[in-house]
Amino acid sequence: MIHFILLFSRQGKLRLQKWYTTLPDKEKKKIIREIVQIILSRNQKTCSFVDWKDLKLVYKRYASLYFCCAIEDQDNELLTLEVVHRYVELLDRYFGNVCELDIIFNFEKAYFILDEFVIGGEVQETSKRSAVKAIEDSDMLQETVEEYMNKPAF
Amino acid sequence: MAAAALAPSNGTRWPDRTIRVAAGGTATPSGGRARSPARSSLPSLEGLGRSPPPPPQLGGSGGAGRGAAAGAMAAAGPFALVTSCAAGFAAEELVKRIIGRDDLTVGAATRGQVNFYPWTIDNKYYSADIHLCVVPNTFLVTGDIAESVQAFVVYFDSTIKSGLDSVSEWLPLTEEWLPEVMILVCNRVSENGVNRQKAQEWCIKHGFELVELSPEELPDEDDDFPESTGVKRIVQALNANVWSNVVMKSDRTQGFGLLSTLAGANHSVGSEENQDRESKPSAADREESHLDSREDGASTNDLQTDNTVDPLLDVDIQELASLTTGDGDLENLERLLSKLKEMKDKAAALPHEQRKLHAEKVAKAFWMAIGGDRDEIEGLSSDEEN
Repeated sequence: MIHFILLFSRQGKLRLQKWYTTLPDKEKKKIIREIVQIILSRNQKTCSFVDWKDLKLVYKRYASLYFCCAIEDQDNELLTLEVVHRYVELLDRYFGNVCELDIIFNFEKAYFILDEFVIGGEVQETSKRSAVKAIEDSDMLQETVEEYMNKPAF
Repeated sequence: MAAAALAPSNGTRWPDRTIRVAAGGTATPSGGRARSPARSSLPSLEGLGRSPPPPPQLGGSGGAGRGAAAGAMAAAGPFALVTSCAAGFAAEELVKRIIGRDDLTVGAATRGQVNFYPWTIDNKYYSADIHLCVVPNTFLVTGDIAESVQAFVVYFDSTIKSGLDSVSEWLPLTEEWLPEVMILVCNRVSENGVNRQKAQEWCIKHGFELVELSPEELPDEDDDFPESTGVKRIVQALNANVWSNVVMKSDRTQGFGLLSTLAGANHSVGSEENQDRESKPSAADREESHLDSREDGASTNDLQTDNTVDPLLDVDIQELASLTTGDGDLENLERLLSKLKEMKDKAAALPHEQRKLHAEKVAKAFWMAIGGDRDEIEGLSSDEEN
């Protein structure tokens, strides 16, 4: 299973973090700092897989953002790269030409999309269409409710 | 745009191309707002129902004008501090390339040896008027500059081994300010001076990002999500920051999918309607909305306006939908498009809300006409709610 997913910029700014294991905040911060440093210092041409403690890091850079997953020893690295790519595809589909700004200003959507796709560190929904549809449905619900609340007579 | 042609078949790429520097020097999103393939296939409908997105500001009038005004009132923050630690390289050179203009005089201000150049950052989420503030050395930093630095861009000479030493003079300051964006710039890392590894290690240690203006290796063209380099990357990084004076674009209901495109015609009515009402609230209006909230709260208003829509337009819609029956030959398509144009012209005369409702119907009819799946649009509309 995936233990955690981190998204960070080339400057090392964390843009999204998702943990599927329970750790104290302090520990999380330490891990983030350590992993960001490990990955940023790796040469562009080096392998996307790194052994780290008793886990494996699988990372890939998409334009200016790094996507990094920590997986267990028995997990498949290539499959994890596919998971990362699928997440990027979902983001791209939802935002239409996703860029770092989308993650900054609509971070909650980025989390919602991830939650449609991965639960408890395992892929739950393989259909791109279903995952994006679920988000759009909830957008609709949100809009409807907001509109309802905004009615002057209410 | 060339980048678009490179789009891979899987349709995903991390598009640094969403932000580009326009001629006038403002960074703008190329599309103005998020686009989806579905939406771009229905371009002519936008004008029918939704007010078109505000045109992206292409510098010139808007950007420069505002900048000039700010400059005249003695440059105010937030600042992106730009400096050069290389003898042969003026920080102004970098400013020119970031702003995308050779003439920096417009709106520029000078205080002592510190120069301020206005720059409007404009992308799909916000716009922010900031100043690029060129400070030749650490001794010229004043208190009010220090207070407003939110980005730090420093150029260094990578051809000499001691290139990074003079940058280090700034570290006590940046460590105190902790600007959100910190970029270390050089022309190209050099094996005889500061090599990549050394520069990269320095950056990681101090929380900077390394940007080479002319990197030896350009990003792989085959990469689906190419990394941007050079000034483009600097501009991008400056965009990826929440400046203290950002003005968010109030496009809160900006939808991203087909769903919102079709439903938007229906849903975006609410907010604008409310604004209209605020200006001239009438008893009738309130009565009407009261009924609405009792029923479903969404948009029963539309039902009432619906009945008043010109019946001729409904005929048009039926005709439009009936054009679908042909199996997509060219002539049919042509008729379809001219029909659409005709309907758009007619709808332009309608009042705002009716136009929106009408747009929804046309969108659906058009969707059916181009052979779209009925499931896709079923349940989107106000008629289901009613």
